[in-house]
Formats: sequence, C-alpha cells, structure tokens
Amino acid sequence: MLNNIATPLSARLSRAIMKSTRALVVLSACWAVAYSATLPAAEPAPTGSEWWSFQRLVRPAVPAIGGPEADDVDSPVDAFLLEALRDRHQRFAPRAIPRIRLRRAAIDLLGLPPGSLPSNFKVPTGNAEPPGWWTRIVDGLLASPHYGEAQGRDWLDLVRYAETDGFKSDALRPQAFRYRDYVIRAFNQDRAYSRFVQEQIAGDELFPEDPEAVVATGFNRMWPDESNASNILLARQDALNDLTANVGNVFLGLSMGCAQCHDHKFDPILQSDFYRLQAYFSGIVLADAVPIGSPSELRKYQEALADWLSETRPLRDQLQAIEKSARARAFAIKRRKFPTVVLDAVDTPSEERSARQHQLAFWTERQLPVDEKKLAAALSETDRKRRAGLKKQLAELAKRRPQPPGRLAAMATLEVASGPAPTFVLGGGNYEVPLEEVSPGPPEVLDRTPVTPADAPNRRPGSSGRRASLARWLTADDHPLTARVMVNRIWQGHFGDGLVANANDLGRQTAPPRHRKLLDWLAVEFVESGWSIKHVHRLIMNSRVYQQAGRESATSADPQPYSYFPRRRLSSERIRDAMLAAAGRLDTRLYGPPVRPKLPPGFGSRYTWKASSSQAARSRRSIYIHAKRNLPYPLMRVFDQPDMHESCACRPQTTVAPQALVLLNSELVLDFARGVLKRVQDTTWSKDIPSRVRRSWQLVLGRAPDNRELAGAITFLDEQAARSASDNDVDRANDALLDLCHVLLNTNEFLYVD
Amino acid sequence: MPSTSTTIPRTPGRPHHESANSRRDFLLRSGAGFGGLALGALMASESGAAESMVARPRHNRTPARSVIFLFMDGGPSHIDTFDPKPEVNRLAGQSLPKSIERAITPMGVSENPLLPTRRKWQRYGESGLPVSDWYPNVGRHADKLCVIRSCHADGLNHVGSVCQMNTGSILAGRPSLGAWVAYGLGSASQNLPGFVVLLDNDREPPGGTRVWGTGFMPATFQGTRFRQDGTPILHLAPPKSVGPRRQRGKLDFLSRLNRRHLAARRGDDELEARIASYELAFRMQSHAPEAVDITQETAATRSLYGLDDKATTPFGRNCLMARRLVERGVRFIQLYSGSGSKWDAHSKIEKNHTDRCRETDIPIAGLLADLEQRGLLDETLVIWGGEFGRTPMSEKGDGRDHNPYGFTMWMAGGGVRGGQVIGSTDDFGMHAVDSPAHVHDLHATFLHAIGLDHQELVYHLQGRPERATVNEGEVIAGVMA
Repeated sequence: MLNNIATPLSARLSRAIMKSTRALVVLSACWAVAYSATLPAAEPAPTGSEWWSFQRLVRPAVPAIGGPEADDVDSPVDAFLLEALRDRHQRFAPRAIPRIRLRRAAIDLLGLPPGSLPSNFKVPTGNAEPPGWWTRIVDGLLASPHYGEAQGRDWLDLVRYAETDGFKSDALRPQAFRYRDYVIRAFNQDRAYSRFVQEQIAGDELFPEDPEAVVATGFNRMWPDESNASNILLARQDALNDLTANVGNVFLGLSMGCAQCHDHKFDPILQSDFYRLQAYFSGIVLADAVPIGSPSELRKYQEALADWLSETRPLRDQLQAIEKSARARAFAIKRRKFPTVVLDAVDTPSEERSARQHQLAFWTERQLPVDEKKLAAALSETDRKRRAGLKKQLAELAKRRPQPPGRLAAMATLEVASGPAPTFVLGGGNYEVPLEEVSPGPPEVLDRTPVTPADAPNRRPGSSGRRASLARWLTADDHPLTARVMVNRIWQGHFGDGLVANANDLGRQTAPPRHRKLLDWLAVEFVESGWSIKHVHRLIMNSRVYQQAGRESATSADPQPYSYFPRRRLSSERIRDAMLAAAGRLDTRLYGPPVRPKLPPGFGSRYTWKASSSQAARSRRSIYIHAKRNLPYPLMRVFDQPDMHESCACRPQTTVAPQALVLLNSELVLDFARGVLKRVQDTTWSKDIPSRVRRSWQLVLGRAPDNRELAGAITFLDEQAARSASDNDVDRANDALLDLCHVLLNTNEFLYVD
Repeated sequence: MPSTSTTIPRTPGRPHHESANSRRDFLLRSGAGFGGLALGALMASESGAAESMVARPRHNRTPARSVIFLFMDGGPSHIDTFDPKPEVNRLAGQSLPKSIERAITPMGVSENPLLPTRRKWQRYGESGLPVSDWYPNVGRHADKLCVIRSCHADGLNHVGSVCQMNTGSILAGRPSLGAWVAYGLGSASQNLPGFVVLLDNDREPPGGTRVWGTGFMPATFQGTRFRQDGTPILHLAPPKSVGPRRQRGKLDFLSRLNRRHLAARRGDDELEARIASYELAFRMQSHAPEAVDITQETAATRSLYGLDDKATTPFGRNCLMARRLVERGVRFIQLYSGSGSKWDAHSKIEKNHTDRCRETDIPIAGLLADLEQRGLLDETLVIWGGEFGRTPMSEKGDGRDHNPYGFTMWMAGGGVRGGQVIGSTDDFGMHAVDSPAHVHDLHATFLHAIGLDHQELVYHLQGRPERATVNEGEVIAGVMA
C-alpha cells in the first residue's frame, strides 16, 4: 500500500531545482512533492479529525467486575483490563512472589537492583506478606532520589539529549548537562507535567525569575548542529525544522515532520500546520547567558539598558562604521562564501540584531573570528587612532552599563524585543522557496477541537510570548493529546509496550489502543491529580495487573497481553549500573558534569576521550556518562542506547552476538567480576566454599542458590580450577571463583527482569 | 510486552508486517544482521516464516549477492581519472567561461584559473573506454566498468558528503547503505556479520563510526569494523588471562544456569535467543579470524593484489579480505582508501593523487581479476567512488577544490553492463549535464543491483515510512545488462 503513496521526486524536478537555486539544496529531508511557486488553493477541512486521539478526553466509567474475578480487582486499572480478558475467558496470573515484585519495581522506578538500596527495601521474612508492604515499597521507591535518574533517562531519549553538537567537529556543549540535571530533578520533585512542558518550551517567558525554568529551555536547543556549516541559511532552517518535528513527537505524539514538505500523507496535518507550529519558535535567540529576575526587575533593567544604549549610540555608531569596512577588507577571503544577508547579520552589533540576525550570527560568528591584529592592519592610521579613542571612551561608559538583576550561564533560549522573524510555508520544504507567510497556531485539526488554554501568560518583558502561548495551549486540562501521550509513555515504562504501540505517534499510522478506555481513564486521573506522574505510577503499580507473575504462570495456554507480566531485558544503563552495584563500586552521587569511563583498549576511534581520573567518577551511574554524539559509549550502544540524533520513544531490544562478546570477553566486565570477587572474599564472611557461592549468588542475583545450584557451582569451581593455567592452588581457586562471578554477571537471570 | 494478533510490532518492526504471534514478532525484531542467523535456525523448526530470516525474499531477480564498495575518502578527481576534459587544458590559466554557471565551493575558487591535467589518456578494451595513466591496471578491466560521469550530491564539506554517500543525507542520523542491505537481506553467513568495514590506515573517515552506523535502526544492522591486526572484531577473543579451556568451561556453566532458568520460563524466545547468541559468539572466535587470514592465500594471489609491494599492501590486503568475506556470505563490504580524507587534494594534487592511485590501482585490478577467475564477479557488485569529485579550477596553484556538482563513480560486476559510459558533465567537468545521477539515484541503482527495490525497502520510524533513498531517486537506466 505504501508504495503507491510515496511520490519519489523525478530526477527531472530534482535537476530543475538544483539549477534554479544553484546552491546546496537539501530536498531529501522528507517526501518530495511537486509544488508550484504560487500559493496552493485554499485547503479543504482536514479529513481524519474523527481519529480517536483527537477526540475530547472524557473520564470513562470504571467497569463493574462481579463474580469470581472481583477478587482480582485491586484498582480500577484492573477492572478495565479484566473486562477485556473476561471476553476471552482469561484471568490474571497469580501474584508474583515478593522478591520478584521488589526487583521489578526497583528496576522500573530506579533502574537499580534492590541489593543496592537501603535496608528498608527488603523482602518480608516469613510466609505472609504484611499488610501494606507493597504500597510502602512503591511509595518508598518513588521517594528515592534515584527515581529521577531512571525516569529522566527515558525523557533524554525523547529529546535526543547530547552534550556535543555532532557532525565533524562534534563540539562540546559545556552547559548541556544542566538540562539533564534539570530533568532528573523535575522527576524527583514530581513537578507537575504541565509545568514541566511549559518550562521546556517557554521557561524564559513564563518563569523569568526561576533559573531552573530557564535551564529547561535547553530543550529548544537539542538538535544536532553543524557548527561550521557553510550554508548558514540552510543550517538555520534545519535547526528550526528539527525543533518543530521534535515538539510534534515529544509533546503531541504526532509525526509532524512528515508535513515539512507536503501535507501529511496519513494524518490530517497540513504542510501549513508544520510551519504554523514552527512560527512559535521563530523568535528564539540561542543564548548562553540569560538575565534572571522578576518581571518588574527585568523591565527596570531593560529600560535602563535602553537609556544607556541610546546615550552611547553616537559613539557606538562611529566605532561600528570604522570597524565594519575594516572587517570587510581584513577578512575578505573568509567572508566570500557567505551571502550578504548573513554578513549583514554578523556585522550588526549584538544589541541591534533582529531575531533572525541573531540566529544567523550564531553560526557565522564562530567561523569569522575577529583577529585584532588583522583588523588593525586594515585600518588607516587616522582610523586606528580614532578607533582607540572611541574604545577608550566606551570602556569608560561601560562601567555604568546597567546590569541584569541576575544572570544565569545556561544553554537556553530567549527572545529579543524586535520580535520574531517571519515564518513562511516552504515549497517542497526548500528554504529558498518561501510561499505564504504564516502566523503561529496549533495544527488545524486540533484547533477544531476547542482547547481552553491554561492561564500562563508571558512574563518576560520584550519577549513575544509566542512560546508561552504554545505551552499554555499544550497544557490545557482538556487538551486531547498531551495527557494521553504522557500516560502512555509511563505505561510503556512499566510494561515494555505502551497501550498505544508507538509512543511518539498517536496518529493514524499507529493502531488505536486496544484499551482506549483505560488510557483515557489514566489520562483524566493524570490531569486531575495536578499532572502528577508519580500518581500515575501508583495507579499502575498498585494494580493487580502489575503484580502478576510471568507468562509461564498464565492461566491460559495462549495468554492474552496483561494476563501475565512480560519479561524484559535490562536497558544498557541498567546493565552497567547493576554490575557496578554488584561489584560494590556504584557511586550514587547525583547530578553534575559528565563523567568519562575508560574506553575499551584498541577501540581506536577517530573520536575519543580521556577517561575521568578518579575511580569514583568512572563508577557513577550511566546517565552521567558523557553523551558524545560521535562517540556513544560502546557498552551503551551495543545494548541499544539510541544514537542521539532522532527522538526515540521506545528503544529496540536486540539480542545479538556482539552483546555476548562484550559481556564475556571485555576487560570492562571482567573487572566488574573482580569487584564481585573482592566482596565474596571479604574476610568478615566465612571462607568456606559454600558460603562464598551463596554470597556470590546474593550479590549478583539477589537471592540464595538452591541446593542443586549450590552443588553445581561447587563442581564448577573444582573443574574450573583444574582448567586454569595459574601457577599454584590459591591462584587457581581464585581464578575459578572469579569465573563464577563473571558467569553470574552473564546470566539471563541477571540481565532480565521477571 | 509480547505482541498479540492485534498489535503492531513495536518500533523496529518489519515493513508491511503485522505480527501473528510473539515468537514471530520476536524474530522480526532480532533475527537479522549480525548474529541473526543462528536465531533464524533456532526458530526454523517451529516457524515456517523463519526460513525468510536466512535468505529473505528479494524484490527482484538480479545476480548480485554481495557488494564491495571501494570508497576513495576525500574526493578523487574525476577529470584526472575517468572523465577526460580537453577544454580544461585548452583554457588552462583562464577562468571558467561565462557560459558555465558559478557554484559555491568551500574555498571559494569559482573564479580561479583552470588547472590543466597532466594525465595521458588511453582507450581500453573493446569498448574503448578512456582511463587516465593514473589507473592503467584498472583500465585493463574497462570492459567491465559502467562509468557514471554525471553524479551529483548535496554536500560541500567532507563530513556531510561522506555522510550522504553512505546514508543518503548530509545530516547524520540515518542508516548507512550497508545497514539497509543487512536489514533488507540479512546475512548469508552463519558466523559473520552482514556488513563489514575495512580501513587502510588507523584514521577513520569523517564522521567516524557513524558512517557505517544504523542511525534510527537497531544496532544489529551496523557495519562491523574488521581490524587488520590481531583479532578482527573488538572483544572477539577472551582476555589473555583466560585460556580456551577455561573459556569453554565458563560457557558450559553459563549455559547450564541459563537452561535451568529457562526451564522455569518455558517458551520465552528471547531467553533462548540469548543462550544461542553466546554459542554464536564462541563460534565467531574461530571463524572471524579465519575469514581474514590471508596467509591461506597462494603467493600468486597475494601478488595479484599487490601484497608484494609496500605501497599497495594496505589496500591490497583489504581487497583480498573483501573477496574472502564475499566467499563467506558477507553482504556488504566497504573499503576505505585514504581513510581520513587522504584523497583531499586542495594543493599538490599531482603528488597526492599519484600516491593514492598507485596505492589502489593494482589492488582494484587484482580484485576484479580474482573475482572474475573465481566466477564471483557476476554475484558481486563492485562500486568505486568518493563523496564528491574535484573542481577544474585550481586551488593554491596546484590543487583542486571539492566538486559535488558533477563527478564520476563506476560500477562493475553484479550484472552491470560493462564497457559503457552513462551521463556527462559539461566541457569542464564542473556540472553534471546529461542524465544527472543524484546520490539517491546511485543508491537506488546499487540497491536494485543487489535485488532490493528502493521503494519496497521500508523501515517504519515514528509512524513514518523511511526509505534508504529518502523517498527520492530512480534506478539509473541502462546500468544493468
């Protein structure tokens, strides 16, 4: 079916465009369609607006479950699922044993095995589970500061978080980690999701006095970036396109990116919708230092600054006149490849630049550094003297330059008072073919579903408030998508799959959810709880469905989803963190600049890094590993960490031989085994072999071995010592014990969560 | 959660596929690429569909089974190798005539004087295809070559252009062509990856490992870099302290523990697959070194690839390894010549290209001859080219700037009709004019040659059908015999 819909661009058209623009044209960003240089005829109303996810969110009635199944209802979540299972004559599997449930919950919420947690997270002794034990476990885990590290990781996948630009130079983004810390903190504080969304899109406008909210706008800057782009106009458009598409993926759960070049082929999203969404962001200025303060303080500052600027204008103008022509002469060769509009932007002093000029200068300034010597050489003697005099006068005046109430160094966005740059629908997505100008607005299909914006006005003087209005619209309590998208993500975090299969696309390319009523009920609960993510975790985890045993305990031979709990492999980060924990090395400090573990010897990449000097730093949780786009940490990548260029809503879970190779043969994992061995040999424990085997089982698998396992392990130790090439019996015994620890770290029991 | 009859497989689902049961769904998620075959075999007893994991149905009937992509990293000059331009020499020292459109080049050379070529050209074979004296040995295979002189691309700098020649886009994040082939065809080898990368020196091409990465696809399909020395794959061998008997003992004990774990969890495909993946890893420990062990080759063969000459040895060894990998069922082998942009002759092109061509001429000719004599040429598509060509205008007096507007690549073997030229550039080799072939067209053609229809080869990402050719491109007419 799809083949007929795709419209490959004919080579002829490609040629025509290439000729007409005679520049680097990226037509490849999306599906190409023929277009004319004139405006398209008025678009008909989008069809497809009847699609389920565009419908108003209404709280569904919780089904009444009677009969024997009534005992299986711990929460309304169960009632919705049991209703569907009953139709297939199936029931829930029995409750899993406490040890299994504790590990499941700890891994789900914290990404850590229970053995690494304080002693209050223990399995009850004795046969009976004390009343309220489970609820206390869930609440306790939700209160742990490691909760944000695990949940934040999923969010970082979505926003394609990285600490470098990508492309050839892959330049460092030294402030990026503050955004990562912001995300972890927001989850830990159970920040209302509505506020979380608002801060990331428009924190500078909505909460100008809150440094955290300004750090959050780093979201707007997560796109991969060619810092030395030759074609600045294209680089600017690419950045805006990437941001627009990502807003669609992350918050709306819609593949807006398809509409970059043409109306969406499957969803009722028009090409103009893409650019209307983009227009919200056309004013952003990419700032690395942001004034912080209350609206009145900021207004006072800006007024004072305006006065200072106008007072100093004559001097600055004179200086600018001298320097501008000198720059053109001194750097003529380097400037030759840039068009006039780009050179004008970079030649305009920062205070005078429009939003668009700021955007263009962002790339250009880095490529046209002003070499003071060359500049001076390009000046006449008279001008050199005049310039020195002017600079001296200005330096004097600069002492009186008003200072902002506060200033925050962060990778953030801001706007300038001259307002956003105009946004156009681009023919075929080509930045050189602007068609009609558009104003900011939500996708039409959602505009037809009346949404009542929440009350969150722009509060930063001089900012357009465009992003504030988008954030306000997105977080209205009755928005049909925002809450559904997020509760689906939370569900997916617990069950591996969302209720909607593709968490980044609730459009028509994804099958509607089988349990739509449950999804809607959770979404309404989410909104009514004040957008509390932890509330949704509680609803899910206190249900019977979450506490079930695995598939082998299902009551049917052909069990339906949710009639058992699905087993999952640990994610890349969780594998490493669990190994660090078993080795007794996990450094549980929170937050801070990225760390760099050692790279495998012989890894030999063009891109590399110097390992952090301290063992503690190298043993931090994996979320703190330097996120370098051109060098994903090898252990992470081989276990499916996404590659930081595209939003990733759900990681694939692959099973391939290189994973076995790294777990079995790398010095890295062998060294984790040495850590376990050291703890096994800890002298405070009994030295006899069975005790050591028990201890190794406890440290790695979190349980005691049964008798058969114990006997098997002892036999292995004997045989393995015989196989060892070591010189004496003591070394051979150690080698064997090391091998046992190493094998345990490779077991499926360690790598999977029941 | 394992899918059911009504859910669509999650993210890395196969194109046009609705999953019927969890077993099949799982296969689809992890069956292909590196390490996939054993899983296919594992499932074959129960699932009829599993056969397709071993050798997937191809979209069209073409003879090629493998691709060897000879990538001249940095941009070889087309007008000094396969696209003679007498006008450049006639107007040497002058600017391009006004009739030729000016184009942006990274170093801004559009008005620089034309740099004459010092090459002598010779017509080879029955076809009389002209090849310069930088490639005399390749020239002798002229009747096998389909020279496409009208290539064009979108990027100006190395990183974007190498990225595009590999992934279709100058922006990072998309799967490389080899990954698409591994995704589309799976590996035909039991014990080797489907996509292998060989570099002729320690430096990686611009963009690093990303250029053989999988972008938004699962890592399963990524290229595996084989090293020239020691063990070809990272972590292939256990640490030195662990001898083979100990290693086998560990694997056996691991297998016992895992089988016991599985016994209480009957029917979990993933757990079974992971058990199998360890066995495959163990087999690879012996098979991968064997695959690249060129000491098994005769002196005559080694000489054919130039292994008796220091200059031709690095690339020659890779060419020979590539043939051995083709014989063992590897689908896509990419060889970088001058890895790390060493073809990038902004100045002193005479010295630069003399060296690069000498390093590659005999090895490439040897590869073509060897494939032919072993009857492998028909099922092996050989591709030669770089990320772009070079300008007729001079840079720094004796070099040439990047030219993505018109350049040459050639294809041989794999059912390609040799001894022909397709397309042309203008009189100066500046712009593609006749039958321009964009990178997407080239990719569509490469895929076609190996039996994949670029419109059928779809990967679903976020609800968006993604294609290797970014929904553009056409198979270039006349390439296939």
